[in-house]
Amino acid sequence: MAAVIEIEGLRKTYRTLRRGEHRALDGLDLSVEAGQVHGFLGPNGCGKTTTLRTLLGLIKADSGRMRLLGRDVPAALPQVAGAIGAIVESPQFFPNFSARKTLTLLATAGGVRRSRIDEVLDMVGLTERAGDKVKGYSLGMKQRLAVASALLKEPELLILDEPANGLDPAGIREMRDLMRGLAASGVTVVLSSHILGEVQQICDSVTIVARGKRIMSGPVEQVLASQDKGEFRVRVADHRRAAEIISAAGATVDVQDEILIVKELADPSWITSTLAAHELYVAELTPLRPDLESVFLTLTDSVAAPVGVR
Amino acid sequence: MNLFKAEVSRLASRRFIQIVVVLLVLLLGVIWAGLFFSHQKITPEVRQNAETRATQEWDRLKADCESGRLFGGPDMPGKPRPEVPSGMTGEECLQQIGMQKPKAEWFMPSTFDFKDYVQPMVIIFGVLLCLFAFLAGATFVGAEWSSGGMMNLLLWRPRRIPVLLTKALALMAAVTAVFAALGAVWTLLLYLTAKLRGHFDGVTGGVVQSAGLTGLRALLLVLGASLLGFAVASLGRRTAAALGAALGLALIGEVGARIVLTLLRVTFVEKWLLSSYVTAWLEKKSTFESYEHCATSNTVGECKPLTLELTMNHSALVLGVVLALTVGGAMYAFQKRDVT
Repeated sequence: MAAVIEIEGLRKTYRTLRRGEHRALDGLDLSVEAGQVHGFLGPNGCGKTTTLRTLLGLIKADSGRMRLLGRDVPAALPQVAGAIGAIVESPQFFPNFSARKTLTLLATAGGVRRSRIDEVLDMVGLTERAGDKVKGYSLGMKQRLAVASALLKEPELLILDEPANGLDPAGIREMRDLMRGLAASGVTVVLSSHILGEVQQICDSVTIVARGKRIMSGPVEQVLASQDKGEFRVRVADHRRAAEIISAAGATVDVQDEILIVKELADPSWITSTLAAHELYVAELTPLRPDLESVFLTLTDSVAAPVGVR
Repeated sequence: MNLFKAEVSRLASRRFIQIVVVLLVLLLGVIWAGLFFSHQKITPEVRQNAETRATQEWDRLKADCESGRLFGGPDMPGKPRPEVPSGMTGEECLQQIGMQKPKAEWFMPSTFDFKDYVQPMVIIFGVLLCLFAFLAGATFVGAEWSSGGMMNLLLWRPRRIPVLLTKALALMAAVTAVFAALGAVWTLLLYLTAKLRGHFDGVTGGVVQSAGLTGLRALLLVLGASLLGFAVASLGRRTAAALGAALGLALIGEVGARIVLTLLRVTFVEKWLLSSYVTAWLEKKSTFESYEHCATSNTVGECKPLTLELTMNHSALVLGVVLALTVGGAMYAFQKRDVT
């Protein structure tokens, strides 16, 4: 499958008189394939927003190579910008303009057909409030308006920075359904988010960054599997004896409140057969699979930023 | 073209711009109302009445002079009484002391002389429009930065310089439209004032042409002010940056510089003040006199002042360079700086 975003060795250092030098991107790599929903994850200040802004031509990189929809950017950005919808960080709009006015101005500037405005308002569930002034909107409604503005161009690639920010649970679910629908229609979605449960539910692949570098990327299942330590939770009547048997058989085991945690094991049937041979029968056997949050915390903690660095 | 249309629409939809236009209209309305109601048409009745009052006043003066009341008495105790030979008529008495016969004009109400008023009224209009244009330019781009609208726009239109130039063109088009619309109304009001409360005596083709050219120079100055506000707010990425710069220029560049240069005994302080060039531009030329050298001069008799004449050509050069540097700097910064 063709890559719609390719970034290699992206570097950016901010220099200010007050703060001195801050290396925001330190040779970052990123690749997103067409038709995917891709999660772009990392702790605060790791360079996610800088990466997205650099990709979209808002920030100039010090070095590195970027391609969008098969074209080198920023040189070819004017040619590909029409196919990219993006919201970067918290959306802000003129408070005295209505959602319809805001979208109409953007549509006029971008040469987008007028009927598209009603379509995107409907897609994000703002049709009823389209005539109201933005200053009366909740954060979630502003977020929907931002997504609507990004969808106006009928993009091939949609880049969303924290789209679920400010949304209530129902709004998050609607946003998730919207993104799934877009992906199903062939739109590639790149999603930066802190809500890792959401990312795990809707993303096909993820890139995890820390301190301006990529530390892990790939399909979600593959990323999770890479951090799978083969741990199983075992409940058995005589847990002390069971622990001795498993340990004597060569496996690593921890006892936590009458529960055994068996580690570094590929095949869980080994536990049942080993204990059954000693007439101990398993009451519960649960594989402890890592979720995206634990993977994220494990990976980003290992390259945690020193105190005082943004 | 799409972007231009969108930017004009965005500008026209801005609440701040609408409020400033309303305030501008109100201000012009107040000035016009003051002008209209403080002048009167000189009708034959008014003239006749004034002539009667002038004659009455002359008669009173003659009587007073003849009786000696002009030179003292209870109202003017202690004033030396000039010698008025006996047998003089009142008229001869007044001639003796050099008093003129009152003119009927002295007793007439003020009337609107189109020829005299049109030039200063065009200049006042231009100066007020300059303030509006500066604010409009500053808020147009400043609010875009602070609201995130500029970033949003650049995501749609990544070519930065064309975006900024289109915005500037949209601003200038809108300012020109406001100038033309209000200018037409202002001209009509001046015409009506002359028609109803004054006269068009002495108005020649030359007077009208001169007023038209002053209006054209005012329009250019207004466009320059809008671009200046736009460029400074673009550099500072805030409307407040332009307002701060304007305040700073007024306090430091005008008042402060005037004080310091005066203390340094610089001849023609005005040469270093931007306001002098603005005045010279609107009035075609400004002449300044300096008597500074007279204090140290050994010349006996009258000391003639040194003069400095600033023409509109000088002004075009100075104001043009200031504008070009500011707009050029804004363009360069807009192209180079990160949008964070």
